[in-house]
Amino acid sequence: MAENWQQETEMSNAFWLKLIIKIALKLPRWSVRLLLHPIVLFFLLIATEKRHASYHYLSKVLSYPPKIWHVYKHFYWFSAVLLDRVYFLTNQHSYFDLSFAHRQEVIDSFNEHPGQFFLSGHYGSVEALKTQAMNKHYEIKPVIKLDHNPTIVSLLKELNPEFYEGVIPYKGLETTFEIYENLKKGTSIALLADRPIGGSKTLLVNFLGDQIPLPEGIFEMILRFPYPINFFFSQYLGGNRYRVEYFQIELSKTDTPQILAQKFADHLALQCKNSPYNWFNFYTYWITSSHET
Amino acid sequence: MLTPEQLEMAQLIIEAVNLEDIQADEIDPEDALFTNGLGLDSIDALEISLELSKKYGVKIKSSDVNINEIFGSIASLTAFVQANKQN
Repeated sequence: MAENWQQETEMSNAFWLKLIIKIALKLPRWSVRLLLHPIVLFFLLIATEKRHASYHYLSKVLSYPPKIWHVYKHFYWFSAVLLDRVYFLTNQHSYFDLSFAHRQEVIDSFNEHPGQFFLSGHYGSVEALKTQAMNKHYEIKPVIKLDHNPTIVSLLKELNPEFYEGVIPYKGLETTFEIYENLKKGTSIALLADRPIGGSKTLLVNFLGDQIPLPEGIFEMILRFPYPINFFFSQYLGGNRYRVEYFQIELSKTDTPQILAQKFADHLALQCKNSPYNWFNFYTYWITSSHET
Repeated sequence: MLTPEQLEMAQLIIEAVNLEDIQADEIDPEDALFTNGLGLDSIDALEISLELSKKYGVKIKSSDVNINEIFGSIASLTAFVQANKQN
């Protein structure tokens, strides 16, 4: 099941990404954003399952019953953030107004602990964090499962070859070793912890009144490694504004992977309530999770 | 039947990852270390590798192409360590 939704989404992402990238590099951002509307409308009409997933999710985070235009906005924000990824990757940062919360605390902590964990979800734009890392406060490598989306990878490599040099491809056993080797030499690691990877073990957590499966291996690993843990969420605020918020996570000795995973889900849920349209998991995995795992 | 080197390896693994209910001499050296065999995970493998580095000076790195084979079983791990140990 998990494999299926990952593959399905990467294929459709690849299609849209290809189209958007080609146009985005030719035209100014505002005009491409206008072009997104017909694309989003088309997507809204054909992607029944994603539409249902969005309805379901929005019904949990909005204080009123979601209508079709809320789903439209949800899809539009996804496409807008995807579009901005092109500009982030091609270093056109002048387009954006980035703000940060608790950033200085994190920067200060690098003096003592240069290698740290940064956990986020498919929420907003992770690229906004990467950009900040590039201004030399610290080095941060995201762990990405590459083999699912070779089309996207080749497209992104074209856009910014250096970006992918700074990525750890998720493979399996060797990835754990690579993560450790990087942390040890002072490079931080970013992980998206809101989706299970392939057939790996999962932990069921409460998320907005549902149960969703999170990847157990990630929470197990960060508890067993002696490196500081941060959650970060990079919200798109509309227009050209992004806001990256950090949370330095204090662990207690009694924390288990289950407790930490729930803590992460709670932070994520709060972000979703604060800014609902940034959640980019258009799958029903949280609905069916109790049957699938 | 474990060779003396394999027995030593089995003991090191049991201590490194706290396998409390397993006796070293009961382990089949050909059993898989992961999933069905001893049920270790990749973090256990990393912890074992840190012990191997301390004890034998053997470094296992993510760039080792056959890392999955090295950690295939007690037998393969022992063979790798014997071939690469520094002291």
